[in-house]
Amino acid sequence: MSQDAERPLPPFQLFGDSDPRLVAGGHSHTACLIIAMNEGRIDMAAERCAVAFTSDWVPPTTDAYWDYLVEQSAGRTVAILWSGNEHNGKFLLQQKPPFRVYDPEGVELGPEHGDWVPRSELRALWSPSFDALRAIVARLTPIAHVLLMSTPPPKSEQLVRAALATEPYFLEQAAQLGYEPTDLQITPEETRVALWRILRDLLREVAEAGGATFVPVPPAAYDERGLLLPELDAGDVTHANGTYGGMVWSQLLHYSSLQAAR
Amino acid sequence: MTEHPYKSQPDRAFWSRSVSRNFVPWHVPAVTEPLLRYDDHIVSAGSCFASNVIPWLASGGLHYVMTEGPHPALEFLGENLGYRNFSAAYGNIYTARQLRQLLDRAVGAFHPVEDRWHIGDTVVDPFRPGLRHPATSDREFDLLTAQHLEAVREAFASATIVLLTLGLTEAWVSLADGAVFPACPGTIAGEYDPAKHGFHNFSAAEVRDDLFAFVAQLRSINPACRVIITVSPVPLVATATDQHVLVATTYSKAVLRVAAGEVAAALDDVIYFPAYELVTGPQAPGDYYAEDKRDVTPEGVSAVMNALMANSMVHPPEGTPLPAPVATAAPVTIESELSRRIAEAECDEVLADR
Repeated sequence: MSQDAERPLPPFQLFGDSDPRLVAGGHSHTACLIIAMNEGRIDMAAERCAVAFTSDWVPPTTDAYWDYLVEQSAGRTVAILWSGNEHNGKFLLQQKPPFRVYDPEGVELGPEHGDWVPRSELRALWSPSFDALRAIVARLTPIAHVLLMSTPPPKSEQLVRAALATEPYFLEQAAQLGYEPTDLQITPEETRVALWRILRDLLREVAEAGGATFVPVPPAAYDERGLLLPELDAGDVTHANGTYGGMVWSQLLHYSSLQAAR
Repeated sequence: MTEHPYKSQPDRAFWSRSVSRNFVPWHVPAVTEPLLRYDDHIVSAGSCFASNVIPWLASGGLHYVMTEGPHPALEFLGENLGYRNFSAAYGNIYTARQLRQLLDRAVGAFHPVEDRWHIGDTVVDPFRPGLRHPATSDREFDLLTAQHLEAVREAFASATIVLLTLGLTEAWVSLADGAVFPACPGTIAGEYDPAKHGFHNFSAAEVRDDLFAFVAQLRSINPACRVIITVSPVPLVATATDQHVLVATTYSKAVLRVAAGEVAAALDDVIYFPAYELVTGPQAPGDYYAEDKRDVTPEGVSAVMNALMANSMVHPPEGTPLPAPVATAAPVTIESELSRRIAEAECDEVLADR
């Protein structure tokens, strides 16, 4: 994970209660928990919650961050929001040729959406990206209750297009690759949901294998097609907002209390 | 007084003149027309020896039909065995019965009873048991298998010539309906059950009839398709008979050779190509087999492919319009790269997935 060696390491800190019983941490999707706190959607002191994150809010990518999270977790419940953007990072834009993925929870797209790609092939693509999480879970489970929180489901094409249309960085990158933004095709919503569910299942399996508890996305956060509700959109391509963060806090507290009751 | 028939035979009919000396590999095939033409669409199937043809055809500028393969964005994940070495992802096909049944399944004429194995969380194709990425549910298996069989049908339907390499006579079959598995259940995947699985060593008549049936089915969807039949020079890795493996190999290859010859003699546009003889004949140098006396070396493969290409019309006659170029997929998808940059801009952890 130490891939940004040229960037000075940001200091890490706990946002929220100074002696929390529940510590949340992880990659960029963790930020919505801090936003929820700042928006007053959770009383961090009353609930004795905190978020371990970088002081400058730049999503952590270093081993040092995970060492810090492990230090903060002893004797507590720790919730990890791991990555969760692999599906966007490779397949946000429609592939050429397009492809379909069978989704046992979704609809079957027609042949105009391309050939079927085995789910196991996509699992093979992404499973190695969970190896580092497996190692972190192995460090944490002897000293803490560990929750692995599923990351936000995909957004509708309308929301993605709206985010891209106002994103100068994307427009620049697209131009570099010879793309006119009007030409771009977003991967169908059904396929992006299917891909996200594969990642979700991999996360669940890491939890089950490592003695952690998998925490699903609150059902109230997505529609019948599995897409993030528009009111939970943070305005970019991938992230959810503070309202969603508040829902995740409720979900984490619920699962934390279930775990404590065992 | 009439001369006896041998008097008019060419040199190639005499061992002393064409094998003992002056052996020319590309004189061995009995050819009246080019085996392969510059405008052919070539499909191949058969044992592992058959998988050697693709690079040779490509280097010769010939068009090898590929109707099934990995998505370009996932190609780097790799595949097992020979599933990427043929026109569709059927892998090695060792027996004529397996070949016949494959095409029958592709056109909907055969539906094996034992069509899937549930192994752990996966659903394994008994006819492609080594696939690296199997289905994970019955419904996904149905979708993936239907897609595969359509790719098989499309390959054979679009070919102008099919290159077959016969490998074995020994096979393991489903006792329910005779469906032939490419490997004994329990070896690559699955579980051997003597109540469900049986051994069969095909006779020359059976192989011949299977080849007749295959060609008939092929021409039902592609009437003008030509066929080249070869016999693999690769010996059996093991026999399930009570014979020594050397004896079992001789039987198997002799049966295949007889059947191939009979079918080629009986059917128009079916040609026997003597790959087996070029590698195994007494004229063959000692370096055509590797130290294990089983694997054919690159030198042996070259001898066969050179003879094939020498009897082909790789280049069009002068003045002939060139065939339309065949579209190939881009090896790297711009869509993946741009997707990555977008996600990377929003969340640094995507860097970890590079």
